[in-house]
Amino acid sequence: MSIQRDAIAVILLLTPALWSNFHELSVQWKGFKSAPASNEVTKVRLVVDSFKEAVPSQERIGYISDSPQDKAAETLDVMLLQTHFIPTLVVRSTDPAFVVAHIRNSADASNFAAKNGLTIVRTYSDGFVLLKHQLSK
Amino acid sequence: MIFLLRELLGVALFWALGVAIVRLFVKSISTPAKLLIVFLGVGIGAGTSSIIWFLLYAVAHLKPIFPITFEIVCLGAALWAGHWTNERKKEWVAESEDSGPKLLPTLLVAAPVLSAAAYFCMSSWITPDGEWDGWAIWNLHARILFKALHFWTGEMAALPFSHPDYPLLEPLAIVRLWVFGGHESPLGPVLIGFVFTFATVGVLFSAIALLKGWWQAAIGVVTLLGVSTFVHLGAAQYADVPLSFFLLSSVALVACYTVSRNRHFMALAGLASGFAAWTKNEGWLFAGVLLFGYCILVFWQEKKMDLIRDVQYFAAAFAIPALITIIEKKMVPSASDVMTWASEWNSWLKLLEWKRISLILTNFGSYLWSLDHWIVNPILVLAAFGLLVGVESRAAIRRTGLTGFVSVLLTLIGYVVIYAISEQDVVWYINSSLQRLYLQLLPVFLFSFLMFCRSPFAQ
Repeated sequence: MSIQRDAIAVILLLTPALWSNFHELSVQWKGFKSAPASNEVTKVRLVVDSFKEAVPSQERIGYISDSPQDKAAETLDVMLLQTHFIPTLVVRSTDPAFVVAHIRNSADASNFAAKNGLTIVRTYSDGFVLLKHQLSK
Repeated sequence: MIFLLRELLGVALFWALGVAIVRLFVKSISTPAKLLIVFLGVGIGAGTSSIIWFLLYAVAHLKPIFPITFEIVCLGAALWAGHWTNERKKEWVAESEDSGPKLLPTLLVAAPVLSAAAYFCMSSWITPDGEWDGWAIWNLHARILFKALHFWTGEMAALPFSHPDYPLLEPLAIVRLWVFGGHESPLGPVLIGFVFTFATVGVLFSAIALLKGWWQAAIGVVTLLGVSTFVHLGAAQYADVPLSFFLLSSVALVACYTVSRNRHFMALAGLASGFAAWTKNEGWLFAGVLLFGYCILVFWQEKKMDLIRDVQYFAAAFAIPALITIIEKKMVPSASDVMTWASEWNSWLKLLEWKRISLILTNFGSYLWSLDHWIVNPILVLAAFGLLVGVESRAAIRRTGLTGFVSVLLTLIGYVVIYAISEQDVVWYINSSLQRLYLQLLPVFLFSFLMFCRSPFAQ
């Protein structure tokens, strides 16, 4: 009787645990098959790798976007850029010699850069553009 | 490919160091005891090597060859000392009712472990840089130590969003692998997440197998791995899983002491608790409540007068990583976002606001109820299991379970207080952290629960 009761207890506990384990694996498998080639963090890593070649060693690099009203998106951009630009610090300003712009909406990146007194150094996909001051060498 | 092998070599070195240190304290006889030494070695080794790297690399700015050489010297010294003191060491006391390996429970564990490993690998493939706290805090700190070694304190202080006051066990473990691999790669954090996730599973299995038997150990592992969010947290590269490893190890080692009366276990428990504080700030709270809970139960049940010596062993080993953590916090000119406001009396008065406390407790209840996506709620399933198998008959083993329960309960009360006196928006604060706090404590809770319940199929 005791062994039967123990067996019921074990089956009762392990069945939902095992079901959950294998079910979540199958859900993950579907996500794995349909996952994009790169996520947000990886994408910004590639952007920064590309820009770093064009930027001499700097203490600070600026950040600007064409949608300053979207504070959450800007914060995410700065954090993602910062994590890959280390040891260079990323600041929300156009004062540093080089500035990374994230242009999501503006049709013409050159106009956006010129309006801010900057010129395009390099462009990358998804609206990321490396800019510098027009008088910088 | 070559950097993968070099990073694996880095893991192997700290693991070997950890195993050699644990073997300094205790002699292994049974299979579960040997397994426990191997799995404890992961955390003890990672913690020890991170202290070596903190002092020689981050503070003294020596070239990486020096901490690596020092680790190898420490490994050699620990192996030599372990061999020399072998005769004097006390043995593990195998208290389990079925201590020999059994095929069925072992097979039962194999399938969910493989499934969880596959889940972890797919998660890491989808998000190789980890999720929010992974890349924005822990990996960012590692990058700062790797790329801005000579001014890392100022660099961290300049980035308040990264919580500069957080301890450095995980970032230094990652930096170390990047140095071994020769460059910064996503593989380092993935490897650290992987070994800590599965070492936690290993400690749960081997500690229960040692004290209660293989069936109970298998039940613990299958239940833990049924909570896929725990594995997901490890793959997300959060420090909560390494913290969880140290919390579980502390409780399991106190349990080993309770059963064996070998005080070296208390020293190891203190060391693991110290490493918990060196991993995340929550580790300080848990170390305090574990020791408090242990002392209360000993006084209540045995009126034991040599409790002071137990505390001395625990505190002496705890002090080493705790001191390193304090030094690191003094070096980084940044205030904790938890303790700064807590020093003001008007913050403590919030504890008297019943509406706020009620909101926190309601959220604690709803998060606990929806911790994972089981077909039947895990709380109900565990309750039914406990009712069917009954309570453990041996008082010493029961007390190990009670010690864990008291520690978990007091930690949760501590979290309620922290949420209550926080200046942050409490709903946001809870939503961004409470699930992780529960998952940190899950292995300790399962260990304690299975210690307290009778083992099924035991004679």
